Formats: sequence, structure tokens, C-alpha cells
Amino acid sequence: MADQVTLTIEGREVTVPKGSTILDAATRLGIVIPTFCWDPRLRSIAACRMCLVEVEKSPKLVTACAAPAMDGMVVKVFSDKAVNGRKAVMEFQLVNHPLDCPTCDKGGECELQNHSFSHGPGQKRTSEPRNRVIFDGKYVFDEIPIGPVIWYNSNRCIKCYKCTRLVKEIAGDADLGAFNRGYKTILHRHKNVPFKSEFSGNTVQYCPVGALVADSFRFKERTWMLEQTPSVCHLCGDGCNTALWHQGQKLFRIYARWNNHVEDGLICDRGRFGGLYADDERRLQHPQIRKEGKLVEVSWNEAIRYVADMLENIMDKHGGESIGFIGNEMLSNEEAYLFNRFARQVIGTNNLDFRFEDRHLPSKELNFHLLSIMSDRVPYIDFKKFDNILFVGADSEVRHPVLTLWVKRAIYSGASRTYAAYHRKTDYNLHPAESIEYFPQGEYNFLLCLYKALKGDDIKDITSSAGVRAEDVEKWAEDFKNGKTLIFAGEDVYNNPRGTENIQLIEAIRDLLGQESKVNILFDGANYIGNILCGATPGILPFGVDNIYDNRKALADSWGAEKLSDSEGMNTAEMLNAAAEGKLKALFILGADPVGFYPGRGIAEKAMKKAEFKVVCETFLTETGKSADVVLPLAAFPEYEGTLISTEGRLQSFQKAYETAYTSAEGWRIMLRIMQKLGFEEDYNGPEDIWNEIGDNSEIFSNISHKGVSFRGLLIDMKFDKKRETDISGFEAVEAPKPPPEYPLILTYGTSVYQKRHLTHYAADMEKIEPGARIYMNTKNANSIDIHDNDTVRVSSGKGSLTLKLTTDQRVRPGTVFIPTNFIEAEFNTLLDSKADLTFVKVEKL
Amino acid sequence: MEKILFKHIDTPDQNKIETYMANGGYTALPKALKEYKPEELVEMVKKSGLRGRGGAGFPAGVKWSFLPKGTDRPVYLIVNADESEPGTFKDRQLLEYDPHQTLEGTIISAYAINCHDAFIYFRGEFAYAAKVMERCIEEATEKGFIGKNILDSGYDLNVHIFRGGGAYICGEETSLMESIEGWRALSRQKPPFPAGEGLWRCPTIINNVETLSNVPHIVNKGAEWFASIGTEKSTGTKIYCLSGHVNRPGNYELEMGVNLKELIYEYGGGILDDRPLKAVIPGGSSTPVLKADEIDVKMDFESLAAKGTMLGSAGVIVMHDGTCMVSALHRLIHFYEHESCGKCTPCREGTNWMQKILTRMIRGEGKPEDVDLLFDIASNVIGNTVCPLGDAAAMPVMSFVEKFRDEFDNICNGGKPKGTLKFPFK
Amino acid sequence: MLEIIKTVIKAIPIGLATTFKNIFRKPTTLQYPDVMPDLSPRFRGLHYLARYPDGTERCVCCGLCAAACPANCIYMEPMENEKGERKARIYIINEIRCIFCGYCEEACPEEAIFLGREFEFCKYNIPDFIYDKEMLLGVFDKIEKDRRVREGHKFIRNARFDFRSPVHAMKHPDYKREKTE
Repeated sequence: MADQVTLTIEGREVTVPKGSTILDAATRLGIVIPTFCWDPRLRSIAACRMCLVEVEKSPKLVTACAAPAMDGMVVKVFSDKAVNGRKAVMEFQLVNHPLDCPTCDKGGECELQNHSFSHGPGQKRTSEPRNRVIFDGKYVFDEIPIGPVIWYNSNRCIKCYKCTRLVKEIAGDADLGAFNRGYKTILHRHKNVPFKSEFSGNTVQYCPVGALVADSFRFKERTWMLEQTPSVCHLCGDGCNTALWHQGQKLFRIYARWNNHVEDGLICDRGRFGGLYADDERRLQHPQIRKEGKLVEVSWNEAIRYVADMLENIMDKHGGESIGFIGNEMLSNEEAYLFNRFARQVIGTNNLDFRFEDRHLPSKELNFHLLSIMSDRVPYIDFKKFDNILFVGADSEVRHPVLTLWVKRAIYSGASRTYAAYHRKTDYNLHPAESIEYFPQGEYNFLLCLYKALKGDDIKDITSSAGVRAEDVEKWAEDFKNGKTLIFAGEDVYNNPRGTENIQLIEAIRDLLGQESKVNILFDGANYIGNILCGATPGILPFGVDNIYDNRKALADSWGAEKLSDSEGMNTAEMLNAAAEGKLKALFILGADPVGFYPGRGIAEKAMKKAEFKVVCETFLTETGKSADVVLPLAAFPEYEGTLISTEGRLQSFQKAYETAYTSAEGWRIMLRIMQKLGFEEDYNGPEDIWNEIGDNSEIFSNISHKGVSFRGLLIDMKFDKKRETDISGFEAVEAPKPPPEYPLILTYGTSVYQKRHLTHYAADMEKIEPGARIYMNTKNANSIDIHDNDTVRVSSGKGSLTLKLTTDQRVRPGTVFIPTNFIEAEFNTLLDSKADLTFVKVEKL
Repeated sequence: MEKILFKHIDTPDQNKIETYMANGGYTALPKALKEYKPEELVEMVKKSGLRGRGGAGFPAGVKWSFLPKGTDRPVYLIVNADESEPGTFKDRQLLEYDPHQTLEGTIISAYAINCHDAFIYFRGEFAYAAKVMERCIEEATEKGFIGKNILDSGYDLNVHIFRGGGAYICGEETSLMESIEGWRALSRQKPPFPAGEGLWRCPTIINNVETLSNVPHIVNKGAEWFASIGTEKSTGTKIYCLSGHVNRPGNYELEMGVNLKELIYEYGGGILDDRPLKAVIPGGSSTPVLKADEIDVKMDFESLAAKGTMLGSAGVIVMHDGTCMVSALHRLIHFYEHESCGKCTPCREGTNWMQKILTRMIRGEGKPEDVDLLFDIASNVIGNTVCPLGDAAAMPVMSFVEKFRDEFDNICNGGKPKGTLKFPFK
Repeated sequence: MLEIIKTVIKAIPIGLATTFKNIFRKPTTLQYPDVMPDLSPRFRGLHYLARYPDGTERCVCCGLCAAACPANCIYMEPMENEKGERKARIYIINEIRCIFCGYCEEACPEEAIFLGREFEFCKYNIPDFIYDKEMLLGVFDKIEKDRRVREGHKFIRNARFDFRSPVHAMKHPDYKREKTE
């Protein structure tokens, strides 16, 4: 019992681990001690003094949040002295707090209101007017905007320093600080620098009073009028648990739900403010059919009948193989399973895929590799057990903000060091991270260098092909040998012309480093693994079964189908090519926008033009939807339920907040109705029925009920224990990319931290945070051609050109430019050549 | 009685190393390094009974022995030269006129606690003292008293100077450490105490300038000699900073336990204009006040504690009968309101509230119930704050109200304030 | 049979006694609408939204009245006005659903909503009973106008009083019990 202490609180004994505070011990007993500045994720500073308790033999009252529990301590929480102490503190808090609860948006969930009700003196003894904050030489009576989406009212602030500490200690940004002294203290952004941390929204959620208010919720609705529905954020693969606050069919705000295994109560601004797009009025409201070249609103019955008839026609004429299915990586497991049944059983084709934002899509073999690696993955909470954390080909802060928080936590606690290899510097603003920048698509060469360096080979002659320095790689290799290493393989590793080789190299590196080292794969989509496991790729049947004859037969038997298609099937890239060549006759597109986001706009547009019949199910009218024959309004995520598997491999379910808005319908319902028109005999009442079927048929998901995964999620066991065989003996470095003289720069593209495809554009806040697309260029390159910040430039490649505003950025590798993909108006993919691996561009000043 | 610290304070150029060495300086350092082990030095300081001169009076040797044994983390020594208590001005004189004495004490103490980086934290306003000390460190480095392998003993020490921004709160040890670390000077919650987890979360010892200045003399003359001076529990001499309505204000180095009456009337030359005495604050502005009939008291830690006040930093502030206690308190509270760091609620809001009430009182707008309210606020602040600043603000309020209640009542009931002091604020 | 007759004979004078007792009394029936009823001072009639003396509405759309309303007849949506203050964009009271309990009046922290003395607001169409913000402010304006005319601007001259509520008016020394005649 050396590491346990026993103390008495209010006459009850409790045993807690050494190092716990009195507050922890009291919480264990269910005794509530009020706090303002305490937060389990932050270091206790005992600033608010609200948690004063009496400890026997201590002359003063003690702050429960900071005082360590000692053996034999006798704590009194409700003695007169303690109660009066807290009453005094509460009175001090209220001396200068304005009485604007009716207009304050925190009203109803305000900790100050609650504590003053239960612990306050109930009467005021001040007769002076309350202090008003003076800032910039002016009185600030009302809220002032301190960031694009945050309003600040310093009069309401009780100086708990939670916001500055959240931003500094957890997110690692230095956006907020405290100014002035004594009663004049204000917590504010630094002068002339907007509060623009990508975790800024959390300060609003955890502000105990209404000092920080989100623009999207300011003066909108009282909190007690709202309902909460547990959900899961679907805007990246991290799987943050969220709570949707809504009233009727209106979504007001998205808060973190605080699953301390996943997001730990901290979600990024993309999920918090970007998710509000579901509420936008620009949504598709009715099914539309193209009649005489125009999209005309029709009824659902007519639309479904029309789609079914047309698909039947094409099946009769050209066979099921001539129909392609493109989904998206946000499909829930249930939707993905039905999607796969629709394509494989009802239509009889293997042409289905859920990925459309990359051209070099993982093959069947590579997918099996990914699943096998993911079977031996590391959950978020275990990151701190590793000495070295290596990111390869991942802009993790942008694509996985919350996963990166866990990495930051590991760094800040002193447990780990970080190494980031990418084609530009990532946003590790305050991190002691070492970084290596290789050529775009130089992952293969870099990994080969690292592998050889680890083996002790000479790498001097191959580092130039990766564009890195030999001594850097050798130093890293030396570091990795001394300690446990966790490797994160990012999207650019497997969505790569040499994806299979890359993954094999990573597996080889892991094996070289020994048993203790692990690999995690980063998936950008909300349900990437789930989509693979539920059969939404051509090569893999549901539940990770290889698409070979015997397995197909067994599946057909279990479904009661006659026969499944024997073809290889096509992935999205192949489907679009085939459609452009006229081989595919029809496309069923579920929530995807290949024209807007497929790298190679030309081929996607051509495919849409050439295919005879195109069905697009979308929430908003996309570029793809504009050229479709039938557009069906898809429900937004608060309007349906399902399960997702995050990049951590955690199965989580999200709930339906309210009925579908307008006449939109859930993805599974649309598919089911069309399938039933095409002769599908089964019926489902909802995703739960589909989930039960999935559970009955699969080993992985068996015995997991829909409700069983409701609140905390479940790390699933993928049962791909067998390591795939890797043979990397013949791997040689490939040549470094050489831009032609007329197009001297290499184009790189990726998501921006605030955006998810076109969806987040419909959230009003996102426009304020990131008003438009820009092109990012290294300062050196820009200076050499005499371009400066905020100049308008024309970027042109052999395929097309774009006019954008330029931002000079030190993080971009010299010789490359970076364009964020998620802007509708930017149309980045007009620049891309659908054949060549890399695109070379030139930049001219306008 | 022979002066210890102020023995050579009036010697010209005492702040130059040649003069200091000619007057017997830097003799203790070689002795300490060669003849004593660090543990023996700690034991010696413990035996001498040297108590901290910064205010709390914690025995220095005991504090040093709290350092964790066998830690692999570096140990730091910080010299607290952030002397900002109203009524206290002893360190300034020591640092400006005899800085080598302090420096020698710092080096010996650093050796005793096995520290290799010592910091001298200067108050922002001590620009001249910091400049002098900078020169002194250069001189000492040239002579080989600081740096690598000091006097061939194999012991290394770097002494760093750190100048604060001029906040009273930086005199509090944890805020001082935050300030050195580069953050806003907000005091930390104790425990953990600095000896366990201090500067950059490493074990740290913080001592006052005067405390460390005594160390060379203890090493030179022995612990028994030091213990023989002063009273039984408060040993050595103390520099008393006499100010206020006395004829000869200034620093007086006297034995511990000198009578306050003697200090005021004999050394201080009596009250200004021979007026009757009204009140004395015995240990810097934060200590409770003594009435005129209470001043027959020994000036040491125990005797003053028995009177319900504190020796503090021995900044004796004398007030004659022309002083309005309400406006004197108002001035004091204004200081604490201005210097409150803003971290913890009772101090931040309480000082401001008390200041508002006192402002109202001296404007003649006070209400009869305000006196009780003032006392109640002060008793709510005391003991509920992170650092002693809140207590420092509340103690004078409580003692002023207790001992001079009639004046407060008089003002609140529409009476005219006594005394000749002008009200500084409107 | 005889007993029945006895009872009847006994009962007739008792009944008539009541009749004769009341025959000379003043009739309680009011000849409404020719004669207006005398309303109790705490009578709760049609709602109104009060204004500040400078004419801006008092309501800040805090939602407490809607939360207090047992009949769920209040609906509101806030907005930010040009001064940056929170005001109501939509404020609706469904008067046909209202039970005139006065909880909204009690809940209001800004002393903005009151139940006035107006009870004659019959309509031909039920939708007309849905009073929006402008209508509710209009009720207040009408009460103000009437009172100014009647009281000869007596209260206006007294700067300490604004026309927030009848309760305030009652505290005024010049207050006379209002009679709707």
C-alpha cells in the first residue's frame, strides 16, 4: 500500500493513489466541491479559491484542487469554516461581475450562476458601481470580437485562466495571454493578432462564464431550450465524440462530449464550427430529374422509379458490369454495407469504391496490408509510452488535429520526441519536433534512406534522390534505435504511385526496430476502415474477405443471391477512366464529388459527360450534381444514425438528432428503395437492422449491439493477425522529380485545417476563419520572382490555370507551391494532369 | 556592540573588490571551500540560528537541509533582492555599498547546497545596484571566486543577474521563480515548496540579501559566536529600517531584540517636532500596527509575535499624533491593490473593494456599517489567498480597524478626519 | 300527501323571503359595454412590452418568460441591434393559448413584459390572436398615450418615474386608483 493513501472526508474514509488531490478523493466519494479554474487536463493553479475545504491541523483553509491527499488527513467540506470561506470567495467573484445574465449566452449553463446559487451569500454588500474594463484606452462595455469566430467580454471574466492555459498547455499556441495586474487583469489576445488557434472553440466551451462566446451561438438561443444528442464528428478520421445541441430541426452548436479515450473534451474548430453546415438553407430540398436539359423538381416516388427503370434498362442492355458506384469515406458502416449489397447483389458488379479524392488508390493487396497493420495499432492514450514518434507523409496537425493533441501531450509531458517527415514543414508551432522535408512524393526514397540507415548501409548516394541530407536521416536512425518508436504512416504514404512499396518499407522498418515499435496508419476519412471492412472496395468483400470465388459463393449463399460478379472490379480512378472512354454506362454517386475533388478535373468531367446515366445523392448541389441526370437530396449527419470506425480503430455510434430536413432522405433509405424497386426482397427498418445483419455475418462485429457502442466506443479487434509478407530486397531509389524549365515549380495540394471538402463552406463560421483559397509559396521562391504576400498570381500548368492570392510561407519547401484543395472556387484540380504523377506549374504575378 | 554587516558600509569604494579584500573580505570563501564540506556548512548555519531576514524568519540552515538528497536534477540558489515592502530599504544599502559581502555569502551558500547556478533577482528599480553587482561579479570572476574550478576546489558556480519589471509580487518566492522562468509573475500554490520543486521544477533555495550577507561572517567567526549575539531564538544582528515621523530615519544595524522604544527614541532621535507617538508599524507595511502604549517590546521574532504582530523585514514606520489612521490605511491599501497580481480571487477583488470603501470613507461618504464591512472583507481575504500578499493587505486593515476603531467610526459618522495628512486621492 | 303539501306551504314563504330580500337591492349585473366593470388593481389582461423613456424596447429576449410560461405560448428569437445590444428579432405571444397567469411578468429580469388591464381584444380570426413584437409594443404605446392624455402628463414631469408598470405607478404619491369608466 505504499502508493496508496487513506484519508477521511466528511467522516468517510477513502483510499486513493498517491499524488491525487483532495478533490479527486472527494469526487471518488461523490462529494461535490465547487471549482472554477480546475480542469482535469490542466495543471492546478488554485487561482479561483472556490474549492476551499478545511483540513484538520491546518490553520488555513486548503484548496482541494491543488492540495495533495495525505495519509490520515481529515477533511471537512461542509464545516462552517469551509462553507464561510467559499461564501467569501463567491462574494468576491461577484463584486465586479456584471448582472447581464439575461443577455449573456452562457446563462443557464454558467458555473458562476450555479455556484453563486448554491454557495453564494445571496445578498450583495457593495454599494459602489462595478468596475469596467479599460482596454486600449477605451471602456469596453460590450463584447468585442477577438478572433474570426470568438467574441470576448472582459467584464464577465472571472480570471480562471482556463482559456490561456488550454491554448498554451494543450494546443501549444500562444494566442491568448493575461495583461495588466490586480483587479485590472484581463485575458486577451495579443495586440493586432487575431485569436486563431485551431482549437479556439474549446475556450468557449470551457469558459466557466460568458466571457468567451462563439459567434455562431451569440444571441441565438438560450441553452435550456436546446436538446443534446450524442454524435461523432465525421469531418476527419479522428472520431471525436460530439454533442449536437439542437432545437427542433435547427442545429445550434456542436460541443465536445468528453470521451477521455478519444478527444478528451477538446475538438478542433473544423468539427465545432464547420459541422454547423447541416443547418444551411442552401441544401438540396427536393429530388431533381434532368428533363430537356434542365434539373426539374419531382417527387421521391417518381425519382426512385425513374432511377430504378434507368438502371434496369442499362443492366438489360449492357449488363451490371457497366454500372459504377462511387461512395465517400464518410459513409457509415451500415450505409457502406448496403452500398456494397446494392452493387454486388442487386446490380451484380464489383465496380464500387468509396475513395475519390486521390488518384493513386491502394490496391487490394495494399488494403490488406493496411488492415494487418491496423490490427496491431496503438490507441491514443498509449502514445506517451513511446520514446520517439515519427510522422511520415502526414500533415497530422491539419488532417488529424485531435490525434496530434495526444502526440503533443506526449511531448509536453516529456515522454516522447517527435520527428516529422513531409514535403513541407508541418504546423508544429511550439513543438520540439525535428523535421525533414523531402521532395513531393518522395516518401519512397525517404523511407528507403531511413531503412538503409537503420541497417547501417551507406546512404550518401541515394539521399539526393529524396532531397534530404544524409546526416539528418542517420541521426534519426540513431535516435530510433535507442528507444521505442511509433511510426505514423500518413495518407501520402499509401495514396501514392508507390504505395505498396512504401507500406512494405514501413513494415520492414518496424521489424528492424524490434517488437516494441509500432506502426499506426492515419486515415483521413471518418470511416475509412469501416468502409473497407464493410465491402465498399472492389477487391475486398465485406468483413475483410478476399474477393475470390469461394468467398463470393459463400457470400452469395448468405445473401440468398444467385451469383455475384466474377470481374476484378474497378476503383474510382479506373471507373472514371472507363466512363470517359465510354465503357461504363451509368454512375451511382453517393455523397461524392469527383468533378470537384478528383485530382484530374478533365477526366471527371469527361466521365460525367460520357456516361449515359448518372445518379448523384448529395446534401448540397455539387459540381458533379450539376451534370447529373438525377439528383437526390441526402440527409446531413445529424439526421441519421449509424456507426463509424475512426483512424484509431474505434467503433463508435452516432445518434439521430432530428428528422431529415426538407424532403431529404438518409443514404441507406435511398439505396434500399431503389434496390427494392429492382427486386431486392429484404427490408430494413433502420440502420440497427442492417447492423444486426452485419453482426450476424461477420466475426469482427459479432456480439456488438448498436447500443453497446453508444457512448464510449469500442476498440475493435480486426483479426488480421497474420503479417503480410514483405520482400524489399530489390528496392532501388528512383529518380528525383525534375521540373521542366517552363514549369519550374512542383504543385502540392492537401486539405486545410478548417475545411472538409465542400461541406464546411456552407458553415458561416468557416468563411470568416478562412475567407478564400490561397496559394502558399516559399518566401525564397517568391522573392526570386518578385512576388510578395497578398499579391494576386496566376498559377498555370499544362492543363489549366488559376488565379489566386499568394501567401509566402517559410514552411513550404523551396521549389514547390501548396494549394489547399477544399475551396470550391479554387478548382485546384483543373491544374492536375490525370496521367502524370506530379504536376509542374509556374506562377506569374498579375 | 560591533556591527557585522554595516561594519565597512561607510568606507569609500567598499563596493570595489580591492577595498573589500583589504577590509578582510573573501577570507571566508577560501576557508569554506577548503576546510568544510557542504554538509558541514549547512550544519554550521543551522547551529548559528541564522533566521531568514526577508520577513517570515524561517531558519536558513533548516531550509537548506530540506533539499532532496541525491537528486539528479540541478539545484538553484536565488538571492531575493526584490525589496519592495514599503518601509524597508536595508538590502538596497547592502547591495549598493557592500555588494561583495552579499556575493561572498552567495558563493558560500551555493557551495553549501551544491548549486552551480545562482541567480540574483533585482527589483526593477534597483538599476544602480544591479549595475554595481554586475561589475562585482566581473571582478570576482577575474579573481577566480566565480566560474569554473573556484580556488582549485573543483567547484563551479555561475552567478546570474536577473532584473525584474518592478512588481511587488516578485518578492514572493514562487512569483519570483515564475518571473525568472519568463512567465507572468503569478505566485504558485504551495506545496510543492521551492526546496522540492522550484525554478524550472528543480530544487531551489531562495534567501534574502541580508541573510546571505551574514554567512561569510558565520564561516569566519564560527556559529557559536553568531549564536551568542541577539536573543536565544533570534540570533545575530538585524538591520532596522527606521522611517516615518522620527528625527533621524535610516538603517540601524543593532542586535536582535533591541527595544522598540529605545530604537525610536534613542537611535531615531525621538519623534518629529516632539509630538506624541500614535502608532508604530514594526516590520514593514504588511505587519499589524502597534499603539503608542505597546511599544515597550523587544524587536525580535518571538517578542513581536507575542504582541500579535511580526518582525517582518524590520521596516519600522513611526506615526505621530497628527496622522489620520484612515488615510494612512487608505494609502497602504492603495499600494496592495496596485500590486495584487490578479491571480487569486480574494486578493484581486478584496483589495479593490477595501480600497473603494476607504476612498469613500475619506471622502466623507462612509456609512456606519462600513467599518464592520471593511473588517469582514479583510478577515475573508486573510488566509484564503495563494501567496502572503493577501494576508499582507488584510493584516494592517484588521489591526488598524481594531486598534483605532474610534477614528474609523468618527469618519463614517460624518466626522472630520484627524491629522494633517493630505488625502492623496480623490 | 298531506306532508308534501305541508312542506310546500312551508317552502313557498322561505323562497319568497329571499326574493323580497333582494328585490330592493341594486342589481349586480353591469350593463356592459355601456357600463365598464371595476377591475381589481391586480387584474391581468393583455400583455404589453414596455419601452425605456427614450423609446427603445426593454426586452432583451432572454427567454425567461418563455421558460416560465406554463402554457408554452411565448416564442422568441434574438438578434443584435445596431448598437450591439441583444434585442428580440421575433417575439410572439399566442394570446389564445395564454392562461394569463402572470408568470412571465414575474420572471422578467428587465421589467419588460407586463400584463395590462386590457381585456377587450376579441377577434374574428384565431390567427389574429398571435401578437408579435410590434403589436405588443403598440399596446404599450396606446396605454401610454391614453394615460398621458388622462393624467395631463403628471407622471412625465416627475423624472423619477417612468411608465414601466402599474406597480410603479401605484407607488407614486399622485397615484389614484384607476377606474375604467
